[in-house]
Amino acid sequence: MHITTNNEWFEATVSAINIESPTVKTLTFTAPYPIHNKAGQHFELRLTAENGYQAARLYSAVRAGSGEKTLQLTIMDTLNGEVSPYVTESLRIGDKVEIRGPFGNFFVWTPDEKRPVLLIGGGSGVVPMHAIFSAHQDSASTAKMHLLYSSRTFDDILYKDEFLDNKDVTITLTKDAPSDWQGKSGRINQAMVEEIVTEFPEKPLCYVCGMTKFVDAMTEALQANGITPDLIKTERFG
Amino acid sequence: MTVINKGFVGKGGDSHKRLPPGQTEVIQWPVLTYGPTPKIDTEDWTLIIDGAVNTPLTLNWEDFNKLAKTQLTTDIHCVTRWSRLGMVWDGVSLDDLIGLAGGLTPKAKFVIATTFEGYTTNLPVQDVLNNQALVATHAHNEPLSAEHGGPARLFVPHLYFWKSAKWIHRLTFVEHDQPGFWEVNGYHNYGDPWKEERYSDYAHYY
Ligand SMILES: Cc1cc2nc3c(=O)[nH]c(=O)nc-3n(C[C@H](O)[C@H](O)[C@H](O)COP(=O)(O)OP(=O)(O)OC[C@H]3O[C@@H](n4cnc5c(N)ncnc54)[C@H](O)[C@@H]3O)c2cc1C
Repeated sequence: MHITTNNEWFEATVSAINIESPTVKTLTFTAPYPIHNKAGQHFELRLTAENGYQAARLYSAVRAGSGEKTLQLTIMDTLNGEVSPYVTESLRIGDKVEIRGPFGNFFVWTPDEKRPVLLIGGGSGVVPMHAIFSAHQDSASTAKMHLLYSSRTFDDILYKDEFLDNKDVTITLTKDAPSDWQGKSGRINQAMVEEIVTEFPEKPLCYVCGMTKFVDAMTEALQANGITPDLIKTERFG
Repeated sequence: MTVINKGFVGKGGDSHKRLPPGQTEVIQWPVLTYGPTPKIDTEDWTLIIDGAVNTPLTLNWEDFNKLAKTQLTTDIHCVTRWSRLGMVWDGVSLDDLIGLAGGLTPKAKFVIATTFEGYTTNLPVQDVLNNQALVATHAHNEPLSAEHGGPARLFVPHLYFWKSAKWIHRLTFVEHDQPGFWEVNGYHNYGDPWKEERYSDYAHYY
């Protein structure tokens, strides 16, 4: 048995790179020991320059981990960013980075949660939602779970294989939609939230994740629909 | 052994000499909160000072604003790795608030800050004395917006910024430490940015 803590950096080797969208990649890392993390938790990824300068950022795990020696992170290439452009553009299979975690014990979902759940994700904020959504699917939980996902364009949609044509997922495109687009268009507003909230048997527990402006707009829309703050968990990416 | 990432340069310019390890300077001011932003009307605002003080008290917004203000010019460091340098903050110092409450009793070893949302954070008493901490109302001469913790937040800039609890409602002085919301949720109990005390060292068994 290997004992370590979530504070200890480990070497992770890139073993696969999957292109999710023009600006987003999912990287699979192999870790030196098994990874255990709850759905919704995040890890910290650190880069070191040749002169010793280091920079680290937080990234949500794509799924809950139950002892696999791999970890997947989905990372958006942020314009003029310090860490994410290097990770998404320069890393190749076989390259190493340092990672530690998991962190965050609040924005998590476990199958013992009996309440129905509404997930709202914007842009890369859908990453921890994917972890929660798939943990729910893999569990015996019969509580309703629905994902409301705001994406700029069709091309920007992440995890298309799982989220397109899924009755438990509503996707809205905020910039432009293809002519044959069956989903919703425009930003998520109070009415769109209402339509989804009314389909729940009781007030759902809500997880909201994305950039601060998005999170604030969503928590306002939820509260306008009678969802009290104690039922809303948020994660702000920036 | 550290992994060297070839071709990675980063932004390690001069400003990082003033930055604690692992921090990056930001010009804008990011918002991090665990839930929705509460809107607190100053009409409903009170600050309670209680526990191990000689005369516990409750101040309303009007009384609080009659108190002398203290200004601190300082850097702030968020555990999510951004720092903002050279900020100017105004508020009432905890020294003054403690004085108003008749001073601390010998039992006062820690202070537990509680927000209007019910979120708590804990600090050793010696970290909030001697002009180290404010109940702050202004940053750069602007009233704090709700998203940054307004109308008033605790301000303890030498520790990671989660310790500077937003929407401060109550300061309770206690004899025994009581880890707060983030501290029981995986963050370090003390939070010194210069020692990188980010996360609690809870053991994982693999
Ligand atoms: C809990 C958590 C989980 C997260 N999970 C994910 C995830 O799963 N996937 C994901 O893609 N991201 C995630 N993020 C966001 C991620 O941590 C980074 O913030 C993101 O990748 C950008 O980092 P960067 O180093 O590329 O950009 P940074 O260098 O941090 O810059 C961010 C932005 O600020 C601008 N900027 C930089 N410096 C300055 C300056 N001096 N003045 C003005 N503007 C400036 C840049 O142009 C850029 O647009 C998460 C964040 C948190 C807090």
